[in-house]
Amino acid sequence: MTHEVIKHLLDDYVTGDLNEDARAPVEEHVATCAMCAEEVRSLKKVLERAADLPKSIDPPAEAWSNIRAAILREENAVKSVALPHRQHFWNRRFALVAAAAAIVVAVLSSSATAWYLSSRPTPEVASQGPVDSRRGLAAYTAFTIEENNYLRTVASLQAILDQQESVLAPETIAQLKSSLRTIDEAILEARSALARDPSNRLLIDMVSSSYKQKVDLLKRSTEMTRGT
Amino acid sequence: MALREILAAGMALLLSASPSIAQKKYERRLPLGMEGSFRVMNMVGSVVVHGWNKDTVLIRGTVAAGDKIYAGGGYTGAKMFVESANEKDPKPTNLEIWVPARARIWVKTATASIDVDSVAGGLDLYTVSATIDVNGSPRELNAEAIDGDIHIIGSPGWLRAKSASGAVTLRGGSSDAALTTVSGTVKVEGGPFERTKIETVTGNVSFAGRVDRSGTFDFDTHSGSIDIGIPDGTNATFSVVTIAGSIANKVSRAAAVPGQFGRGSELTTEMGQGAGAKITVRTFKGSVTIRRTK
Repeated sequence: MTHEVIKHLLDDYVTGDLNEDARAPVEEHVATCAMCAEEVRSLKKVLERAADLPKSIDPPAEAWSNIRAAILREENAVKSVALPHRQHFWNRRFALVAAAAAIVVAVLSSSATAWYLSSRPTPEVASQGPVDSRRGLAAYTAFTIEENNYLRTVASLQAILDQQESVLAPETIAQLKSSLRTIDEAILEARSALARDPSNRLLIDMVSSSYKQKVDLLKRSTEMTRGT
Repeated sequence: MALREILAAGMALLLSASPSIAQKKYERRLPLGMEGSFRVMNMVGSVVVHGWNKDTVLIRGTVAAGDKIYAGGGYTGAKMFVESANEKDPKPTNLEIWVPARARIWVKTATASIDVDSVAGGLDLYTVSATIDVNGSPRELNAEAIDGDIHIIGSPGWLRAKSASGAVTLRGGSSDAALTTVSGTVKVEGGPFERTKIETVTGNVSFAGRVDRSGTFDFDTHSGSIDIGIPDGTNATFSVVTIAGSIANKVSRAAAVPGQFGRGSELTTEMGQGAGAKITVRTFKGSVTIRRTK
């Protein structure tokens, strides 16, 4: 077996999932190939470190009290505004959940994210009522956090894909780039509309959906090019 | 015929036959439990998989001279892959594989087409740019391509099919289906369908099928058109929202109204006695048509 084939079997080799037919040639190759031996050492370390990880991680003790306080503040503010229809309860719940989600992420995430959020301009929602404004702001804030995460994920996946580009046929690369461009254009179009209308949850959903598609396509492409 | 001409014809015949001489035949049998798992990796050529009622995997194929096929494993799981002598320019390997019908099958290729029939277990099929064809009703089917088409005839219980620029077609039904493309078209017909989600960016969507009364159906595109045909007499509720697309309602007299966010249009309507299947359509600027079918 060649180095190219064996490097894709190292995961199974380390976890002991290789059958006897394949195990022997891999073992033989690892004994002579410094790169694969290093990869095996590194994979074993990852497994050891993963075994040491706790089964679950509790959030900081103050997280829930912060969320509760934020919900109560929001509820008191909402109570002061008349709600003519029952359906507003669900909208209010959505706003509270979105606000809580934003706070949870803000509390638990890094100070860099907090700085990122505080440095973003507040969206224009002046034409709406106070409840809608708050609701739109909460949804938009939650979205910007989500967007930031998507952009980071996209950048790291794109970097992996760039490294793997040489294993793909030129026509496949062209097709893939064209598909990514199509998604980017959709994101740009919906994102521009959202910039003009930041409290529009339909647009928020649409942009999020397009980001998800892009991340998914990049993930699939990197997965598929592994071993091709 | 002069001797020189006969010799020349003989030489030409030999030269034209050389590609087949460069191929060698391969055959191998592996024991595999009826619900075991089998993995296949073949980058170039073709992979044809048939389900059968034997606890054995039979692999037959042709492989280029110099290339090697590795196959092995135990009764609960086995795998095979092709190692090319020249990885920069791999030669095609054509495989025909018989597997236990209820087994879980995993196939990965680059440009090798994947064709599966009569497998009732689980299928995980991945290709970069070839076509995936599935005939039959596997318990689970996950089919992914970058720019290849995916064609399914049958009724997988659980179905996920994703392509970027390739088309996805489904003739059959499913209790849980999610079909996704970027620019590829999605065409679905048959039924019954229960939980169904179809999502594209610019790809057009055509759905014409029987829907379960308790089913939920979500259609999302950015600019792809969406055409939904539901059999007359079906009880269904439609909720259609667009930012800039048009809505053609051919199931009731209800008209689209301006969107609640001050842009686009919305339509909420019913067919039959209302309630029933819940159909949600969302598009940025695609055109939407909902209609009755016979």
